[in-house]
Amino acid sequence: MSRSFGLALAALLASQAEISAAAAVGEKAPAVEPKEWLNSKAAITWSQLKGRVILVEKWATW
Amino acid sequence: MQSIPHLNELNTKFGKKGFTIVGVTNEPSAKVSTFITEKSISYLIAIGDAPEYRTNGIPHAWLVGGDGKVAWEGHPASLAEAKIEEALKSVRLGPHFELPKSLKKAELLLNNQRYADGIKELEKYLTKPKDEADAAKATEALASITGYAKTTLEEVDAKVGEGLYHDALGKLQGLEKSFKGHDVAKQAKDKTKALESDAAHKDEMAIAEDVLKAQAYLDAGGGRQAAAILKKVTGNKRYENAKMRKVAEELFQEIVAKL
Repeated sequence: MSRSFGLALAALLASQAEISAAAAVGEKAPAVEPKEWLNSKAAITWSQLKGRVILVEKWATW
Repeated sequence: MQSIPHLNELNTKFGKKGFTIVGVTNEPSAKVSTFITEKSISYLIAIGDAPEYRTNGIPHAWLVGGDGKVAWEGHPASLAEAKIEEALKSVRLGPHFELPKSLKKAELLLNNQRYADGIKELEKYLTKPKDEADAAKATEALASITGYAKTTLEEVDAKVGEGLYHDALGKLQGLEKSFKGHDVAKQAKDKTKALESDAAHKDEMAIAEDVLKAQAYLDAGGGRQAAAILKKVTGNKRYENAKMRKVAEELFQEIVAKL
């Protein structure tokens, strides 16, 4: 295996790993593990939400 | 930020059916807390980056199905309610279990809401446990199911108190089915019977049954059959003063508007 091919393969694998980690339609949704949960009556974790339909929304107060 | 009223509305409408909204922001938590109160945000907020959820602009949202996979993404305002309803079809409410290998059979039963059978499996394991950690997990799972049954029965009382007999009846029927053969199912059945024979609740329960029947038709695409059932209920003079008459009437109007 040539050195350049090896590097290209490594780059390809790295980029695929990156793609599979990102949230994408049809793929497993990555866990949301924030520093802090707000507006919850009890302590919560992402795994407790398993089985429910979840809408993850990125937003800001501004 | 303009999405808040829309999201609050979705949260109210679908929350008890198994829908959760998680608003993610990386702003300081104190600032966000104040904002939550000011804007009466009713859903969960996560303070963090959630870097796997990549977007070039906000707001941006991802809908995750009950199977844990992303079903949709886009601007929250363009999320159709039908999308959520579709995703909710596969949702089974109730606790979710992740148990060790030796308890996989129990895990499968429990996650399919066959609690009576799942409990039997857990108890069987606990009669001669091979592993201390696994036994602890089994005990924990048993406590979790018992807690779920207790909470659900309490919710039934609360729903009756609010005059939402269809929600109460739905929960009771769910318990009867998922705990079939277990004492919890018997408790649910007895409670249903008691409500049905009590003069103060009798009519409400009768309407509740028809509302659930109509909802079942509706879920199966039978809008006309659902409307017919509800029309009969709302037209019945006997039910004129029943609290549930309003629920039936609202559902009827909603269906007719869509037909």
